[in-house]
Amino acid sequence: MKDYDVIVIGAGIVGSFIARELSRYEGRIGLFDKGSFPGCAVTKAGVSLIHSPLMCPPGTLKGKLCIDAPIRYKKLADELDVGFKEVDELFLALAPSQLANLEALRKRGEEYGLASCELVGPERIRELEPHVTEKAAGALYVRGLLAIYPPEWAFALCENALENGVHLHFGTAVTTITKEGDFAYVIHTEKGLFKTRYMINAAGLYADEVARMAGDQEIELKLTKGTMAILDKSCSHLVRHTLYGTFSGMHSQLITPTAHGNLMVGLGHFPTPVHKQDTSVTCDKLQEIIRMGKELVPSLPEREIISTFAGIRSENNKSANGDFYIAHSRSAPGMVHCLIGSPGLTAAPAVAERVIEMLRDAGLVLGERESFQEKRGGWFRFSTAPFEALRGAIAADPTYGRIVCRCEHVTEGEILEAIRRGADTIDGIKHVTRAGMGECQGGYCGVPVLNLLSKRLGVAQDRVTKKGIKSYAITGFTKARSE
Amino acid sequence: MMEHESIAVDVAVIGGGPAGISACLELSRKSPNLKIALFESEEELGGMPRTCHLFFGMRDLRRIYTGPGYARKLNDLLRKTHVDVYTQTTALDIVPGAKGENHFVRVVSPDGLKTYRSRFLVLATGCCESSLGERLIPSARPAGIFTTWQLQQIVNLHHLKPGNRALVIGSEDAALSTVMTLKRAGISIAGMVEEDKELQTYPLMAQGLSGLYGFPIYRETSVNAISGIDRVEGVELVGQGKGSLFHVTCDTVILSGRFRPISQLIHNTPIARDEATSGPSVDMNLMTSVPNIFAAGNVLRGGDMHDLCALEGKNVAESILARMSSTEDEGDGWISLRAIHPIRYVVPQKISPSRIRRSTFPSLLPGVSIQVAHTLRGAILEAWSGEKKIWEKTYGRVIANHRVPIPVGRFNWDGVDFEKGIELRVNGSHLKALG
Repeated sequence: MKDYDVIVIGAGIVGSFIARELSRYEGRIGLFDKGSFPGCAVTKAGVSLIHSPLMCPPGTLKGKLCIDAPIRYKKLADELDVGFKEVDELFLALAPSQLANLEALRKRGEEYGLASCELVGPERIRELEPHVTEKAAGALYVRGLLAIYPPEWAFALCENALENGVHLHFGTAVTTITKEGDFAYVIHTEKGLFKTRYMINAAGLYADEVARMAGDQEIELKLTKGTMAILDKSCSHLVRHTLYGTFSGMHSQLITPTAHGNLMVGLGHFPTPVHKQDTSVTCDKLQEIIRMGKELVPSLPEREIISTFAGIRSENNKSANGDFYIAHSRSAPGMVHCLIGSPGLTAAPAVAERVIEMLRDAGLVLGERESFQEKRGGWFRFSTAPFEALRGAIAADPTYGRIVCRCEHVTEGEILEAIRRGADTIDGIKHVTRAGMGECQGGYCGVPVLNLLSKRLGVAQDRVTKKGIKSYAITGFTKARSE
Repeated sequence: MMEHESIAVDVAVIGGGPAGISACLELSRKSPNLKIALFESEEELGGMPRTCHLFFGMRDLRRIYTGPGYARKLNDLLRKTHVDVYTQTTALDIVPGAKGENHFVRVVSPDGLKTYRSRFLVLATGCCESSLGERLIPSARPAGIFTTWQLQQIVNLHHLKPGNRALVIGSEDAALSTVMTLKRAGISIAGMVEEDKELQTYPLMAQGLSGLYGFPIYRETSVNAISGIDRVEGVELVGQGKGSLFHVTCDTVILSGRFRPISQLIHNTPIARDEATSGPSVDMNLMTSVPNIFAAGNVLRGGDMHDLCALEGKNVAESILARMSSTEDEGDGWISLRAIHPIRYVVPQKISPSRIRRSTFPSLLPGVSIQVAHTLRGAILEAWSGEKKIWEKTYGRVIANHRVPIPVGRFNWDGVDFEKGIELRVNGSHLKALG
C-alpha cells in the first residue's frame, strides 16, 4: 500500500493549485481525480474570468480570497508559461434607476481597496464599447482583470507538481475511505489502496460524497446550472471588456472576451441540474442567454455562435450567503474541506495558500524542498511564437510546420508534445493545444487527432476516447479494413 | 522586409480543391509562361471530393467519376502543367498590397515558413459544415457526433466505423451522400431529420433511399436534445406539427449540410465580407473588394456542387487573364445586389450593367445565382430596384442549397436606380418582413 502524507482528492483548479503549492515542500503528496484530465468538470465550464471581488459582499471569506487574484495569476503565468488575457470589467446600469446600485458597488470597491474602480457616464461607455446598448446610463469601470483558459492552467499546475515529486492518479475514482488507527486513512480506489495522514477534500460537486466516505455527514451541496455560448472570432471586435448587466445569486447577464480571443455570452437564470453530470444545454436557456446578451449588445450576431455548454456551480450548507467553507472537518480529523463556489477560479491561488496554513496548524511539518522547480518546461505554441522562434522550431522538427487545426493554427508537433506530456484523449488534446476550438469545431482536425492519438499511444483507433471512461470516439472497423 | 524575403510568383492560389485546381489548369493552359503557385493544407490535392463516392465531373470534365477518381483526375491534369503545387502547406495570413502592388501570402509547411508575393491572388479555401454549437443543438457533448465530412474521412479514407446506428440531421444533398456512406460502412440508419416540411434535396431520391435502406424520414421535426454523457445514447425529437416529444435510440449522430465558407484568411484584412454568406463578397469578375484578389468555389457560399466550383475556378482564371492584358478599370458603374429572406444570399454581390449590355451573349457571363434558405414550392422570384420591379419568374420548386441562376441580362435595366441597388426577393417576402 502506497503511503502519503497528504492526499488531495479532486484535480480541479483548487486541487491543482493545492498540489502545486504542496510540492514546494518535502513530503509525499498524491493528487487523485476520477477524470482523465485535470480541470475538466466545474473548472472548465465557467466564465473563466479572474474577477474583481465586487460580487462578493464585504466580510465574506470569498471576497477576501479574491483580492489581488490577478497579481497572483500573472506571477504564475510567468512561472508556468501559461497564457492569460487582460480584460477590464464594465458593470452596466441599463436604466437610470440602477445608477444607485453602481454607486453602492463603487463603495464596495473602495472597501476592498481596488486601485482602479470608477463610475463612467454614457459618453465614456460609448468610447470604451461602441456597440453597447444605448440604454446604458452609466457604468462602473474596473481595470486590471484577466481571462484565462482554466484546463490549460490546471494541466500546467499538475505538470509542475509532477516535476516536483507529486504523484498524479488520474482516472482513479475514490470509492471508499476507511480509518486506520487514530490519525490515518486508507483511500480505496479501483486502482488500489492508498494510505494517508491528511486529506484535502477538493472534490467539487462530489465533496459531499467524499466527506461522507470519511464519516463526515455534515456537508450538503446546493447545485445550480449556468449556460454559456462561444462566438466566432469574426465578431470579437464587438466587445472588448467584460460587460455585466444585472447579476445576483440567481442569475447573471454577461458578455466577455475569452482568453483565446472569442466572445462568451452567459449565464442566464440558474436552474437546478437534474444530476451532477447534467451539463446539457437546453433550447430555452440558450434563447434566454442570447436575449440577455442582446440586451447588452443589440448587434450580437447569434448565428456566429460556434459552441455552447453549461456548467454546474455549488453552494454549501456550512456558510451563509453562498460563501466558501474552507475548514477542518469536525468529525473526520485530518480532512480539510475546500467547499468553494463562484468565483472559485479567482480565489483558487489564495485558497491553496490558506489550505497549506491550515495543514501546518494541524501539525503537518512542511520543510522546504530544495530542489523545487518553480518554472515549468515551456510549451512551444505556433500561433503565438515569434517569427524567428517558429523558423528554428520547424527546422529542428518539421512536425511544427504541419498545421493540423487550421482554425487555431495548431501544429502536429504541438499535438505530439501534448500526447508525450500526458494528454490521452481528444478533449485533452483540445484543452492543452486548442486543436478543435475554432470556427469548425474539430470538423477538420478531429480525425487527424484521433489517428495521432492511436499511433502515439499504441492503441487501436477504437480504443481512443473523446473524454476518458467509455467515450469511445469510434466503434470499430469497416469491412474494407478487415479484408 | 517582406518584399526582400518573399518569393515572387504571378498568381498565388490558396486551396487545392476543384475551384483552385481548375483556376490553375485554365491559367496554365491559356498562358503557359505564368508562374503559378498552388497551396493545399492536406497531403493530397482534391479537396472534399476525395472522400465522397458519388458522381463527379459531369459539368466540368463532362464525364462521370467517383469522388476520389475525380480528385485523381484533376491531380493528374495539374501534374502535367508547370504549376508549382505545395501540399501540406497552409496559408496563415494574407497581406493585401496597395493598388496595383503585390499581395503577400505567408504559408507554413514542414519545409518552413515562407512568404510569397504576387500581383494576383485566388482564395479557394472551400467550406465546412456547421458544428453542433452553431446549430444550437443541446447536448452534454458526448462522443459519437460527426459531420458528414468527418464521417466520410473516417469511413472512406481510414476504413473506420464511427458507430453502429446513426441518425442523420438535415436533408440537404449531403444527407443523401451521408446515408450511402453509412450503408457502405455497414452502419444501420435510425432516420433522417428535417425541420422543414419540405426536404432540402431531390425528394424522389431521398424517398427512394429511405425505401431502399429502410429508414424513416422525420419532416417538420427538430432536435430537442442529444442524450448520453460519454457516448451518444439517443436523440430526443419534437414533431412540430404534433408537438410531441419522442426518442430515437442510436449511438451516432451525423450533422449533414449547413455548409459555411472557410473565410478566416479575410478576417482583419480590408477584403469585404458578405454577412449573408460569411465569405468574401465579389463582383461579376469574382474579384473581391481588393483589386486583383479573387475568390472562387465554396468560399463564396458554402456547399455548392464541386463541378460548379470548378467552373467558377475557370471563370476566375479568365478574369485574371483579362485584367493582365488590359488596364481598363471596370470599377465604374457597379451596382450592388442584395438578397432578402427567404433568399439566403446572392453571388456575386456586385454586377456591371454596362458589361451585360456590351455582351452579345449575356447568359454566358459568369452567372449571378442565389440560394434559398429552405425549399419553396410555386415561388415567384423577383428583382426590385427601389420601388420598381425589374424582373420576375415563376418556379415550380426551388430546392434549398441548390444554386438558382438569375438571368440578369433579362432585367429591365432602364428601371434600375444605381444608388438603391437591386434586391432579390421571393414574392411577398418583403411584405412579411415589413409586417
